[in-house]
Amino acid sequence: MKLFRWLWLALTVTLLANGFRVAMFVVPIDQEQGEISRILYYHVPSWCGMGVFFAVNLICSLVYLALRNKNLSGALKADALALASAEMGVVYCLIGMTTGSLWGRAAWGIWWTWDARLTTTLVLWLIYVAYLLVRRFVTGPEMRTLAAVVAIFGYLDIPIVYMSTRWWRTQHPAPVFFGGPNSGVDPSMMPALWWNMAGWVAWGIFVCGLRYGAERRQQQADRLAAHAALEAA
Amino acid sequence: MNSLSHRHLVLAYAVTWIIHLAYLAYVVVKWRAAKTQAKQS
Repeated sequence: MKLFRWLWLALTVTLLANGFRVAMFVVPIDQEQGEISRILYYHVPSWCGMGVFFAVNLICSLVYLALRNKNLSGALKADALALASAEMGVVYCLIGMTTGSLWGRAAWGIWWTWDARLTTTLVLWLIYVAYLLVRRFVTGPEMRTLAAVVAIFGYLDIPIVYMSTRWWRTQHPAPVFFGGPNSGVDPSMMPALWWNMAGWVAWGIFVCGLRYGAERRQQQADRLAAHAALEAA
Repeated sequence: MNSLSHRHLVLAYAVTWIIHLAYLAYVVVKWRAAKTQAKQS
């Protein structure tokens, strides 16, 4: 397991290093926006990472709710992965908003605007921060159940974020990917996007794996402490 | 070269790495603490 972890880290670093090289030195600069367009290669992979890890969080929350009364061990594993993936998703969402804001300041002259895409994204981030606060500060046996329910409601915002540029007029550009016949980026830009998407998702899997391991250890330590307390009583 | 574009591009890449590495540091601290706690119990 330790070897696999190191190999995965080596693969991740290789993907990210090549992604950086291709983004900076291989793909041409966008004719309209110039150099600032290279933010795309970190901005879009952050949203992909967020989508992946919030989806994992949703699945794990559903698995936890399904297993909690039948298979406690399996349910706790799902719960640990739900926590790890939610944290990872919050990190990606924060990076997506920050890089988007830096891009917006250079391209539109503003750091932020309350358009539908940006607002629904901020709400999404706040929902998952609330999820993490529930996990941190609510005590008692129902904490995990409550967190799983919050996660399911939180995920309902993802389709709204995704569709916001299709449903409403926004400052944020119209859909670039899967947006119809005139959408999409120049094919010459795709290698940088693919390398960085692969690299950042691999990074997320690596860090999420570490966080999952820490949470599993914590669960086991809590269980042992509870047993010891029962025996002492 | 537009200096604002250049500065914001560098900032975006730097901020991405700083946030990721800060979170990795937090996870490593958690991981070590859980390992120590598991050993003690």
